Amino acid sequence: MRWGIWCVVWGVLMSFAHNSMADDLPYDLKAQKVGDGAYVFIGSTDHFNRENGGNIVNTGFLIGETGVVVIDTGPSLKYGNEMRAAIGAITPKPVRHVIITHHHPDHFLGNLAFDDAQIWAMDETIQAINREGEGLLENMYRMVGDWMIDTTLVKPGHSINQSHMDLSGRTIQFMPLQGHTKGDLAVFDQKSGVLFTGDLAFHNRTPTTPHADIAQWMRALEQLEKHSYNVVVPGHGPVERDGRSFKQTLDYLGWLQKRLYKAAENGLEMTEVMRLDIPRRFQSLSVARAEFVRSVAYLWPSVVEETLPRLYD
Amino acid sequence: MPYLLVLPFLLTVLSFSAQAGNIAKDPFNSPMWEYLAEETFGENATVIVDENLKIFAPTNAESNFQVPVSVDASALGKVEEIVLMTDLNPFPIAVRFFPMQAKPYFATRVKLNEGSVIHAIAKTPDGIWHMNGTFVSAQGGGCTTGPQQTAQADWADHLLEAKGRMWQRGDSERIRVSLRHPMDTGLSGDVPVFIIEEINFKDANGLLLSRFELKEPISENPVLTLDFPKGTAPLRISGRDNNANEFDVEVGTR
Repeated sequence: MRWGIWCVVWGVLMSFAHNSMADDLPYDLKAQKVGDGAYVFIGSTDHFNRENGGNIVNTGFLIGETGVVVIDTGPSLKYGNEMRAAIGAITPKPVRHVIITHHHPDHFLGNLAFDDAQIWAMDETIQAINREGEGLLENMYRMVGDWMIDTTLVKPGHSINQSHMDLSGRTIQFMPLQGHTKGDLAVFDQKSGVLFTGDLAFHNRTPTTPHADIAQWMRALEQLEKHSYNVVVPGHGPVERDGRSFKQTLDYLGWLQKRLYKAAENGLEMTEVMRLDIPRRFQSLSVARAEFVRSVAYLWPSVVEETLPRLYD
Repeated sequence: MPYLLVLPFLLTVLSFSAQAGNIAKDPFNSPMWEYLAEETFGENATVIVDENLKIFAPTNAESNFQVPVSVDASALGKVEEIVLMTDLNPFPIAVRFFPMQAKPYFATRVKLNEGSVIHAIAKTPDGIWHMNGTFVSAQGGGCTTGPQQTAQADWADHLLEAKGRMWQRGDSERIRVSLRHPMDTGLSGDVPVFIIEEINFKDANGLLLSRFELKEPISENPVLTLDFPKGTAPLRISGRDNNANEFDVEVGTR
């Protein structure tokens, strides 16, 4: 008897919980103006979790004469839809073009919200999405849960092969780089001087390295440092105006690279490396220990492979 | 109503009395522990939880194919054998290590099929097994999942090629050896089980100094790190896989 009542009460409670779930998970995206017709949405600097729904990323948009250009679409359909609504509150012009900086899930899984626009990316990015997209999507469902509802994979249909394009009346410069992944696109808007770096630059947030080539990445950052800009929009962390995100990312990557090779030279094994001290200047970065451990997981096996000498009979 | 309160108590009592021998309950709550411990150590074995046995693995696997684990049983004194158990893998035992002249310490990498408790169990000369463990979540985390890894396409050209080195470290000599091998579990595709089964460390006269028995969960291209007392090197590292391919190499003071 008791059980029966409890089952009914539980059932009713759960149905409330379920019905209100989707509406109770707003990203509350707030557009921040960073230049003439240029806006960004700044995400948290944490890991993916069920509280932030994957909103750990910076995205943006540019208002042209005839339409809107979106740079990265966030981690989910829901994020993309909210982004669209926030853009609509600022301009009635339609979103005509979307540019994807690279193939990591927080940067392109909102594509479905923009599937009536042209979605552009580097060939390397499109290939990586073809290869890993389904797995990345599945993993996002596992990590952030209900926030991902109805999100499906929408691949960029247009490949970027030119250094400049005129999109909706704005001249956009493309810098095809690599290092964070095999295809990292930096996007520069000439009118506003806003430089979207994708995940080549992190700001007050420890860089992530699952597909990284550290040496290439550092060369890419050195190139971006020389570029002109009024505002830098890093992939993660607050916007800045003096290139400090480049310096910070370079400093961390340089240290990481040296530390791993030094550890290999000293004969440390992988779990010892994961427990090494992190210099004070990086401890203030978001998720410093967790990202260092992850970087060791990704980068250490090839450091060992490269540095360990052959043995013979 | 009162009998409902008694039921959990009864169940607890029953589960205790049903537990054979002296196998300690698992503080890490692995659902497989009691079954695996009985299978592996016998139902009359004495297995105790011992925090002096150190095991380290990251809390997140990132790449399920290369999960690092280290076990240090130095605080237990003399140790005859260390078993590494990846509880929820289809083949749970990852390696059996017989330290002999080496320190009761080793590090390697394992594959994880899913998030699992990893147990280290070390046997002291009094016959008691000392157990400790750690949970590794294998659902990836942060920015993206790890790079997918498949057996390297050119493995056949490099089968059992060895890399390695010795380091002087205070009162010990650290040895690391890495071998090219696909370590196929036999569970994926139509590929039969194909693994290195043993790795032996011997001195120049052929005297056995230390020994590992590798099992299916050890990662592709296995890497082992262990410590010997000062003055052990140079030594020879030899072994074979389950298809009787053999290797025998020397590692010395370079």
